[in-house]
Amino acid sequence: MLGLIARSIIHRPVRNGALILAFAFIAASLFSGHYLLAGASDSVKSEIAKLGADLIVVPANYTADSEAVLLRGEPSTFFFDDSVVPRIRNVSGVEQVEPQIFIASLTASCCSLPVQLIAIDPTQDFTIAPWLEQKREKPLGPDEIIVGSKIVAGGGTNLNFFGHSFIVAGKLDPTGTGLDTSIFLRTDDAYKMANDSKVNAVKPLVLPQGVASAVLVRVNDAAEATNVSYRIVDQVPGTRVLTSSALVTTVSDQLAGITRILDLSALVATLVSLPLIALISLMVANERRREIGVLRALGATRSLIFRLILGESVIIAAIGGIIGIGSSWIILVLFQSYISVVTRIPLSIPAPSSLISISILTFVVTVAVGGLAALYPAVRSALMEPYEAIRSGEL
Amino acid sequence: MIDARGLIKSYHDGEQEVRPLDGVDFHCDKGEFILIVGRSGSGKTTFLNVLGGLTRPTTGSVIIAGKDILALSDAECSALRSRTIGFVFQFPGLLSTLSARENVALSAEIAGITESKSASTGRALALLTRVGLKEKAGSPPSHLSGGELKRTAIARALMNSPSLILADEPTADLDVDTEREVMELFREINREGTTIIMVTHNIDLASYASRVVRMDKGKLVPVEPVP
Amino acid sequence: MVLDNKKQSHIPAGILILLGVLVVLTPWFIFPVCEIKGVSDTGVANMNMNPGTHMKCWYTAEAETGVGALIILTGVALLALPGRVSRKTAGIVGGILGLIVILVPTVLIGVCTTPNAPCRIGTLPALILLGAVTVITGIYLVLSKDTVAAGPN
Repeated sequence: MLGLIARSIIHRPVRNGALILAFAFIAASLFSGHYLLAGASDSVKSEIAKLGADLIVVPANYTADSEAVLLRGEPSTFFFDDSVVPRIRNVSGVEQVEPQIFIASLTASCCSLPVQLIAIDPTQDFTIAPWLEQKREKPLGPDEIIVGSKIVAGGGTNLNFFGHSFIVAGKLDPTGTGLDTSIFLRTDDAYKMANDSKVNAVKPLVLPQGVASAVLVRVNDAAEATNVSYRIVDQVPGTRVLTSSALVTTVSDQLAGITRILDLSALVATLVSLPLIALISLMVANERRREIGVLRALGATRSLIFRLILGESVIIAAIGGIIGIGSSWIILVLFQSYISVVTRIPLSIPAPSSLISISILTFVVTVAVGGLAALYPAVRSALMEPYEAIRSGEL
Repeated sequence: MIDARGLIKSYHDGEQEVRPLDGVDFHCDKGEFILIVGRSGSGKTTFLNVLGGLTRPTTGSVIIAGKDILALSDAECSALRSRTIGFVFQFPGLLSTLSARENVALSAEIAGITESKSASTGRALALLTRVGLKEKAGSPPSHLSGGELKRTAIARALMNSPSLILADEPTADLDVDTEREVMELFREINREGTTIIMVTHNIDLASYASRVVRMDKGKLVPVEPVP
Repeated sequence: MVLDNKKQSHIPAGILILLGVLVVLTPWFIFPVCEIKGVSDTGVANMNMNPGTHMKCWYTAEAETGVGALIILTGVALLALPGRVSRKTAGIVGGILGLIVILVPTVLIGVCTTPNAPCRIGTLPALILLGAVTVITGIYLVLSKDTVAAGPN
């Protein structure tokens, strides 16, 4: 019977090809929307956790820039007075603080696009220290830098910033966050670099003493994080506190729009396709009335006829579903960075378990639509009286 | 072999009542070759289809090989059709997506006969050879002439070695020579023991049959038996 | 039947031409390379390079223009000569050209190494995709059998 269905599908390539494309579109829309959603929320949830912090304190005037740096890795340079650091440390509930300085480079030794430099004090650092311990077992030395996973440079390579030469000492694992396009250096080296830049660089870097761009905060009790954040804003004026949930909300809002559009298009595609496919199935069942009558005369049961017609639609839907999911997958992975930059949302490839469940769900829904569309024609054909079917075919 | 009593089929076409069968009694023994003649519209095709279980009469009974086909479930009726009865329609009725050989083998597949695919294909080929279509076995219906299509349909009807063949105007649209070939084939099949009931409007074919009956306005009228 | 041959070749030929056009347009208009974007978007092109030379992605764009033109030519040739032999030839040529489309921005010339550079996140995947589809089209052409129509009807 499968052979019969396969032959029948190949026999009308144009019509069935169009149907397959329709199903592929439905599957692609559904899949893409949920893929992006999973990829984005996975990415954001791990963002601050990856930094090792519970809260990030940034200058109140530079909120947009901080989000740009943290979420999208868009390089930026901003500071506030680092006298805030001991004050933050004194807020109750704060366990540990680490100041970081954000500097946007001029170039990355190859192209005209800047990268984000993050200057850290190795004695206070808890962001990359764990990673360093694991991989290197010794702290950063002079002029040594750690690069994010997307920076195309390996260990031992020389990179120049503001005319100062650095050696890549290691590369971080991918985080799916702005860290992937960042470079960590020691604060001492940053000041050396700023000094030298007056002579060596195309454009000098002005780095005042006693500044920080962000203060990463670890709290004693994770449950208290929100309360601590209120206290900090209260006690240390001129600051804003970014929490994991705040960032997630920002991204979710942005993403919600896109996901809504994709889900809507999947819905519209389904609503439009369902009656269309049903109509086509009906038309074909009519065309094949005589054929069905003959099959019945040969001894085919009603159940066989039903399965034949339903089976054809289900298989077409399955093929379309696989094509839709497969091609979406390929395009989404290939263009991941592009989508992330254009939508200004951090994206990563969703966890394998999410990917599999999204794929299966999409496939099941697509096949169900195919089955639903052909249900009425299949039942009608099965219940036809063979003689009527044969007669009506004659004209 | 076949015992049909009091067959009436009526339906309403708008306001009018149509009665293709108006009280038909019919009996036939195993091995007979019966020709049913009559004008178009006389009800002979409807009668044939009732015998084959393809349509239900409004009243009456049909017993084939001891089974009351009107009492059978759909599955049982389908099984009867696939194994006991072979149909040859006026139109070839071959599936355009399959080759001649595959069309013939389809009978066995539907009957659920458990034999290997190659066995089915082999038997199909043998039947096609018997009807003189060995070289065209792999061709699709679109590449066969009218006569070749008919012969393929006959081969298909024979695939499951039915004890009864119901043929509806099998030689309509055929030229005289091909018609003769086809009728010879039927005679051969009948000689092997298969009962044949054939509907035709061509009374000249009477010489092939063992008995001729006439259908007129939904009733059977006996005609002289052929010597 | 000659008709079948023609139809069998026309569609892939059209696809090849379309792909070739896309390959040519991609690095300049659809997913423009850095210099195009840099000049028009920020108005600043921080080049620490010698004047008169270009970034890698520019050269990739120029190379792909050439390859794309060749793909278009292959498609046109197939349209003009839709026979079985020319189908297979077009398939091989198209397949190789498709491979080159993929290799130019990855191995042969390359694009900018900055993450999030327009050429890296947009032009590169687009060219890889187009190259892959071209290779698949080439393979299809090489493997496609003639639909032999024989016998009377």
